[in-house]
Amino acid sequence: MSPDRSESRSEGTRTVRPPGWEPEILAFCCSYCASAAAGEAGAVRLRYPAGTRILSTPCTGGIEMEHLLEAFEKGVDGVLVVGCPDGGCHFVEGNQRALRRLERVRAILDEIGLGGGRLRMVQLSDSMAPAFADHMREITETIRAMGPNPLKPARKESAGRS
Amino acid sequence: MGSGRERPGGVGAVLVCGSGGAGIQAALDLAESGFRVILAEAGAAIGGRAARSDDTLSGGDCAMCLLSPRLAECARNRNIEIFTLADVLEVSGEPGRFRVRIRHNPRYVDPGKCDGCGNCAAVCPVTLPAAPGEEALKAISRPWPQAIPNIFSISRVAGAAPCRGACPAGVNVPGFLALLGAGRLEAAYTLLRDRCPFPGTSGRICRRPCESACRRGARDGAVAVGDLERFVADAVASAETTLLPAAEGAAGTRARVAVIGGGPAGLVAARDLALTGYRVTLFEAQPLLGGMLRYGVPPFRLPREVLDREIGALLPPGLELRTSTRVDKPAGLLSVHGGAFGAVFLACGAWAGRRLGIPGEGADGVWQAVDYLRVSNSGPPAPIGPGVLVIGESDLALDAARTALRAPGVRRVTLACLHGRGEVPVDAGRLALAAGEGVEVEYGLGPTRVNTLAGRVVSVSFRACTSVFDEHGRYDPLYDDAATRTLGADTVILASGRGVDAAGYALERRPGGRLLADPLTGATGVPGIFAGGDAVLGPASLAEAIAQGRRAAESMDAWLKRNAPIREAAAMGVSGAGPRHPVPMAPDPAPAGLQAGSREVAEARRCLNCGACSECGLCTTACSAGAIDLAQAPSESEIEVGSVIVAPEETGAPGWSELAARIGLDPDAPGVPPESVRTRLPGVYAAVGRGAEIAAAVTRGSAAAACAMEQLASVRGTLARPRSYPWERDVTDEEARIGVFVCRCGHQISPAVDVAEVCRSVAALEGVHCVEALEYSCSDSGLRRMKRRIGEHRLNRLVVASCSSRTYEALFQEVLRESGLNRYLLATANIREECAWVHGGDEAATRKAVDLVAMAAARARHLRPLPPVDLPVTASALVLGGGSSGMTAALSLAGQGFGVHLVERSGALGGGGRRPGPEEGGAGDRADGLIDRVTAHPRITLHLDSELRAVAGQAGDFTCRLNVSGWGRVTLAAGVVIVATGAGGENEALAAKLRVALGEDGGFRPAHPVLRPVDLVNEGQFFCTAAPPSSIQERVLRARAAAARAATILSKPQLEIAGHVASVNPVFCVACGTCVRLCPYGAPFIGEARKAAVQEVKCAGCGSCVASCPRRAITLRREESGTVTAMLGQLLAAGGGY
Repeated sequence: MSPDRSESRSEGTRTVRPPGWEPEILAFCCSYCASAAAGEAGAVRLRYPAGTRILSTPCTGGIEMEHLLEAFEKGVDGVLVVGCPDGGCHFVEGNQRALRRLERVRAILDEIGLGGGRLRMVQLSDSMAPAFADHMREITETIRAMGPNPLKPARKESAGRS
Repeated sequence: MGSGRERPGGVGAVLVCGSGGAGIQAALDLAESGFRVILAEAGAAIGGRAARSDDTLSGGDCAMCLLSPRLAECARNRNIEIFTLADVLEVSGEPGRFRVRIRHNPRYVDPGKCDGCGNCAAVCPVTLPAAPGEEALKAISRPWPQAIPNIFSISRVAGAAPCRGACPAGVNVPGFLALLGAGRLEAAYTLLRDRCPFPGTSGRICRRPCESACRRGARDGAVAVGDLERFVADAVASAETTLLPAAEGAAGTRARVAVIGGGPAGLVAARDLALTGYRVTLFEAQPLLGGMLRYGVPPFRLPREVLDREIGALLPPGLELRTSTRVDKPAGLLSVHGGAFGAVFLACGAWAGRRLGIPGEGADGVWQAVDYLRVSNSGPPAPIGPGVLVIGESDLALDAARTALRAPGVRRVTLACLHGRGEVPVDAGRLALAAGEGVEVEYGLGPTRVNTLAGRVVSVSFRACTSVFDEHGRYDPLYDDAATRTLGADTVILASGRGVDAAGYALERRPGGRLLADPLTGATGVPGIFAGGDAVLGPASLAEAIAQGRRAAESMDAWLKRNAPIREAAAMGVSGAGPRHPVPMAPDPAPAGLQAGSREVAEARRCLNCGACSECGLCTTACSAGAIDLAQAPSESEIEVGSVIVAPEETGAPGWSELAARIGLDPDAPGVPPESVRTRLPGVYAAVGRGAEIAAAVTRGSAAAACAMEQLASVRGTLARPRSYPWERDVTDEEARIGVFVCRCGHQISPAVDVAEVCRSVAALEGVHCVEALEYSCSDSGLRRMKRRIGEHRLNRLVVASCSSRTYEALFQEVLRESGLNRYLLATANIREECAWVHGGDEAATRKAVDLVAMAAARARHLRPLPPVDLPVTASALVLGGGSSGMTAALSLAGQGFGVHLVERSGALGGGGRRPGPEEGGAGDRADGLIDRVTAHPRITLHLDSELRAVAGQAGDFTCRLNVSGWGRVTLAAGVVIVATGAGGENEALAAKLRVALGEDGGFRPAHPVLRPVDLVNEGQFFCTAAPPSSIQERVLRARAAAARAATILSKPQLEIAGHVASVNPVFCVACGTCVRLCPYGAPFIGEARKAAVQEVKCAGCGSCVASCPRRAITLRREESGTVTAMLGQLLAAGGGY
């Protein structure tokens, strides 16, 4: 981070956008479809923003609501859940369960004013690397428009990295 | 299993020749399905040429990254024995029981001692020419840093360097040049002096047969070995190093021996004998030592300080020197004749000038060149001139002429040669030098008489010589008597040769007067008397004299020990007699940047390294393990195998046509029919690669393996050894001790991600006890490094940050098992596909990599050992599609003893329900034959008019439900599923049932486009349909390949599966039944005491119940419940997050 980093308020929005801020996206990726698509995206050298972090999980159906909320609580700007296409879940209907679960979390996010738009689920197969990269870019841009997660711990902003 | 075609007593082992993509795949398939494999590779490491090319293939991996882990698997498989540098010489016997003779070529490095440290290559001065695009290797090298085996080998073609064989003294010319080329003057000098004790002298006067033999000579001039020799000798002498030993060795205690003659032969013999321990007396007729070097060679050509220095350095202490002592009766010196010596070496030289046999030769003013030079070199110049005529055309004549030119009062020196211009048999440079000094050279003159006046020479008459040699090359000059010429002279010096004046020695002599001695030992007819040097050879070179002295000393030692006089090696001096080996020309090195002696270093580097290794000895010194062994010789062994697979990388691969010829195959088309893996020899299969097309090679390797499996079905498992691991340490109660290994993946991860920074950043994380960057984590050396670190740091968790984990996870798990740890104590981070490859050039990439690794470390802290669950394997296959592919796969598996359910949608086999493709024209008969065999096979169950409805389960234990038209539903158990349907329309529905995704072309996608071309993404599912247009042979190959892959599962009685199942903590469970309702597999149930429990066999480990349980009572057994929280915490912690 640049040493001359200073807080500035862009007029017209409520959101604090420190200069140099890049959306921090956590992507829960089903290890059957999404992780494979991520691998394929790398293999063909697609590019997507480096503010993304991938957390592999056996099935999106196993993602707990608490994990999603926890991510936001700890300051992630956006969360993308990438699961199998309909009918393609290796655990039959885990992806469907994840969709339903996400709806509830989104409602909570809206309710607390964080914005349900910060959480998104997409479905793709392991062959859809370009789509994977597109989704990574899209959520990054969505979050960029929404601004940083206001719950982001203040100390993080001053801590910086060596 | 194991009840295939009965073959009494076959051998359950297969020889795979060649370790490219095809050979590696065949070896792995066979070893994974119950066979023992001998993998024979002609090169120094397995992997073939593909493994060392860094061409990026489809899938984004370079060939080396792709093959490296497969090679590591080979190296770690207990059932694969690797023979490198191995040539298959002969295959005899019969199918099922072949005897194979294998030659093991020397590596010149002891594999048991070499630890791959690379010190040897660091010092090796010889760089071999490299093919375009390949890295140049040293003469001692390993093909690439992760080579398997990871030990060095020496490229060495003994006897290939013609210079070395040409040197009579046996100087290691290539070694000398290599050392000098590396700027190692002192080492070069030491090596030189080992064979040539007069390097300064030799560098000035040697006739340089090495340069005549130099292969560079024909191209752009031989390497100036002689000049370099002189340079090195002078440089070392002027540096006054301790290299010039004034006196080596100690006074001997053995018998007394006499050496007669203080020329080079006598000096070398005296030194060698003294060093061996003999008490030596050296007799020299002249006042000073040196013989022809001192009394023949003029000082302007050989400065006396050089000669004195080198003789002084040569003389051993304790040597008794008797100069000015002429010995007339050498036999009298022998103790048997009353003398004091046990043996005598006679090296009295050749000092008798040869007469021309023309009138007037005895006149005043006529000198013999040897006499003239001896007088001139001993004291004041002989009175000659002013007009001097030298007759002769040898070095002797040139020396005489040039000496005369320098004599006081001489005004004109003429050299009369017999040969015509340009034909004179002396070094052209030396002749030109003499001419340049003022010697007038006349050509084509044969002397007829010396004209005198009052007994004193006034002129010499010549006639023209028209030719010197006859048509057979024999010396037989022809003259034109009509063309005469007379050259005036005050002094005539005859230099037409030197003879031996040995009449008084009472020894046998040759007709020309030379002493008769055994050419190998130097022994004369008188026991105890040995002879050598010019006295035996006639006028010979310094190098020959040195060799003679050395050999005589050896034979005298042997003789004195009452052994027969035998020379150490009959081949000495003729080691270059074999055919010359073509080597590519090395580029001229740029001389810039070198310090003192850069010109010489550059010249030395012109050496073409004809024999690769120069045997300079630097590696021997550098290797602390003492692994270098240049004495290694080829050896042979014989092995017994049931089947042979030849797997050249392509038909043009080096050594393949020879191997094919030895085995009896057509090298261009070993397959019968041409594209097949079957050959004309039963039991011998060919998996010929397609050069860079590794996927094709892999398919062929598997197909060939399938054929061998069919053939050897009855002996499967008879020689295979089960894997064994150390007892697993229970780490449940241990604090996490994590080892983090960050892969550079060659240059794939490393520049995009600052690996060193990643290592630094994660080192302080909780529980991390060891962080290390690895060049290739998937290589055998990388895996061994992890294993070593686990032991050293008593680690109990492993984090590997490398590429997509599903590719190589099994390899890392093996490391854990081999280290006595549960294999599930592994967490991976994909910093290649998910980071380096998608964010290359972005400086945030390194930060992301740090986070990914930190998250993996957090996961690792929460990992728990999982007890393995053994899943019994159903030893039968479900094959979907009754066309030629499906029938071939079915027959292959049935032939191996497995049950097969062949499912065909239509009512008939043979693809009858579908359109016959044009490429299948003429294949009808073949299809009919297949149908008959399939129908008749007892282990194949046909399901016609049937369609797959659903598949459940996992590799080894699939439950397959079929719809049979007009009949109902059938449920089958199968260990594997093989898709062999052709039509594109079917694929979509089928893919959905198998839960695999189709590619953009609507076809099935392989698990890996290159390495696993017939595997589907789901374990235990394979496909042999290929994208059209595909030939029938290609489909057969793919069908066989799928069968081989399937056999790696079906041949195992059980598969160890991840015990990655859910478990319920009854304390929290309120038996609400959510999990029971949710689970797609029906694993949870409400058991006794009104608590939920999970049937482990049914649980697939998806985690749905975990996420749904309102009481948080369920966890996946692999991880503690806090894992994700911990990972998030790690990711987002201040300073640790992003």
